[in-house]
Amino acid sequence: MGMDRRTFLKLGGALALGSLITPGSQLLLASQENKTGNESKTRWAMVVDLDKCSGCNKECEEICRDENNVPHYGNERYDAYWLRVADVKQHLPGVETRERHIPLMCQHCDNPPCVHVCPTKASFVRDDGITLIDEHRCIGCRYCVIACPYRARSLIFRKSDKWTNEEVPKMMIGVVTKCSFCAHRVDKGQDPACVEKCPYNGLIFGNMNDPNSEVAKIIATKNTKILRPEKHLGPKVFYKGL
Amino acid sequence: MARKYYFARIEGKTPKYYWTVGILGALVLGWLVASYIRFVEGMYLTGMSHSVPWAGCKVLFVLFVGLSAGSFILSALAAIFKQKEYKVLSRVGGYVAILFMLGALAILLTDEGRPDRVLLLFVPGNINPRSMLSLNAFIYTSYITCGILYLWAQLREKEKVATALGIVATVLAVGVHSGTGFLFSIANGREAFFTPITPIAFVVAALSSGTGIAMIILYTTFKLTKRTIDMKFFIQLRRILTGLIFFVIYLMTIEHLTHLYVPEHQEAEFYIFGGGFFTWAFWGGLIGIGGLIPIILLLNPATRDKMKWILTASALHVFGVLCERMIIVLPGQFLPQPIMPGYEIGSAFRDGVITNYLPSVAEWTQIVGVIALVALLYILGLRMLPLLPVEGKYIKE
Ligand code: SF4
Ligand code: SF4
Repeated sequence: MGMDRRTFLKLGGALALGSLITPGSQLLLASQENKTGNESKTRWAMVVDLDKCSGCNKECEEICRDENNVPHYGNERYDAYWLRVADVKQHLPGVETRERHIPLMCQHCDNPPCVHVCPTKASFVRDDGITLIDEHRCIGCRYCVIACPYRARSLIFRKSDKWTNEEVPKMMIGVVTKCSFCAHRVDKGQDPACVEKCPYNGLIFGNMNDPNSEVAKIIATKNTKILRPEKHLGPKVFYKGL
Repeated sequence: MARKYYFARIEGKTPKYYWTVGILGALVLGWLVASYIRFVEGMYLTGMSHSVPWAGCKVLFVLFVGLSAGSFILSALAAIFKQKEYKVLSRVGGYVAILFMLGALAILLTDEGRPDRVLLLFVPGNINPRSMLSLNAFIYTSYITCGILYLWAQLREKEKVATALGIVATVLAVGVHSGTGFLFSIANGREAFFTPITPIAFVVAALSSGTGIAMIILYTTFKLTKRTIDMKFFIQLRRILTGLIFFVIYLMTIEHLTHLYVPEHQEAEFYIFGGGFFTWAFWGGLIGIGGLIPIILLLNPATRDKMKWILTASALHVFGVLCERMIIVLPGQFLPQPIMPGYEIGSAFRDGVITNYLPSVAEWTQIVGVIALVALLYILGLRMLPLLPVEGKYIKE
């Protein structure tokens, strides 16, 4: 396999830096680790069916909050969100403008800038492609909030006692948090809470590397879109009917 | 070889000195208290938001990192570039450079959400070579360590050691300043940040503003301690400063012209130049007050040899660079990220909204406190270490 320009640059950069900080060989290994070419592995993905999502009362926002103890202080400036439903309108000539509702959350990028910029490796990618934050390692520098192109990350600005789900730890103050694809449920073989509880079944979750899974089938119809494809991040949330 | 220069501590026994120490100490205490409350109670006490997670404290941080450059160069002129006449300033220059860097780290540390965990940055398993911040943690600390050793060598008159350490520190300084520029220019998520010129512009603006502040500090110090300093230093530095100011303006023009020509970046440019605070900060602050006026003052034969005007020009330019630092840090965050280009978007998380930011009382206390910290360490240092020459003579060999 030939080396593409990107890999070449990456290796070059890694080598240059490596000579300063750590032995180069270690870095080469590290940059290989980040490659996600292994097709046989599990890769969790979500499909959002926008034809079904009606924006209802934005119930998934609430479901997500209660599942993951995401605090709500009633202040727009620092309320944290793992998932929010945005109202979008597209103005096209000759077409009646209609409002759509789009659940936005961490897109669990294959090439996640948030992980790249994290100075302590508190943000990391699991083998199954889920991007997580180790809240005990996060120093609250907020570089990842700057780097995420989807605004998926929130800082915990204030102490929170919300503990609606005891399976998940209470939020820690001063660290960054974001959607985990409900990793604690996925590990037990369940779907994420929003997927299970959406009243209109607008969300579908599964392993996109398994051709028989529902998500893989929907993605295969080529009727889905990803957000901000120009960024080349390989997000794993697919929007159908956008 | 007979020594040409004698260095001596300042007396520091006047009531004025004690008052200054007291007031600065109180402000530093304010910084500690504000930082502690902010840490325990949470960052809602700042003016920041999810859209603007890097704000006032980061502006001071980048400003201070930059300001340390000028004093360092002043110090290195003698040690490395063999401009022997500058030897007389090399100690105080090195000391001020270290202090600004310490101030930068102090504000950076107390701006984190979890300053208690900052040592995690140095745990081998955590080091992330792809993260500019992770690398910078090492570059900053090596720079400070090297700077302290360099100062020690100066104080001990170990010329060869000082030269060697000075060279290492110069290389590290380039890393420090470009690295700080890189923090912003390679952050993927904010369109307006992206530009390869920021690291370069950062180095140049660091040198110019650093030279400016160094002149102000030196002149004031010599004046207040009733020691003499030769005008020739300022005349030479004035020439360097003039050239650097031209260079800063040139780089800024290139950066914004590039963005204006590329549709992808136009929105951000229109936001910065479309009226409002940043338009004033750019044209009024950076180009006018910080660029053209100082250049006129520094070139005009009627003003350029008068200390009063050289110092005014320096101060104005430092202000201009402060504006430039604000333009690096803030507008890129105020602008909404185009999550869905072509759509009108809105949500409870303030998607698609131009946000705003005003520093809170806690942040002001921190900012003022860290400035006071640098000043306090400076005057304490002058009293405890023989940094200042007894006479600031300009001796050309
Ligand atoms: S969407 Fe943002 S937070 Fe999620 S993986 Fe991508 S860059 Fe990271
Ligand atoms: S805020 Fe935490 S997770 Fe984000 S980059 Fe900093 S240390 Fe990493």
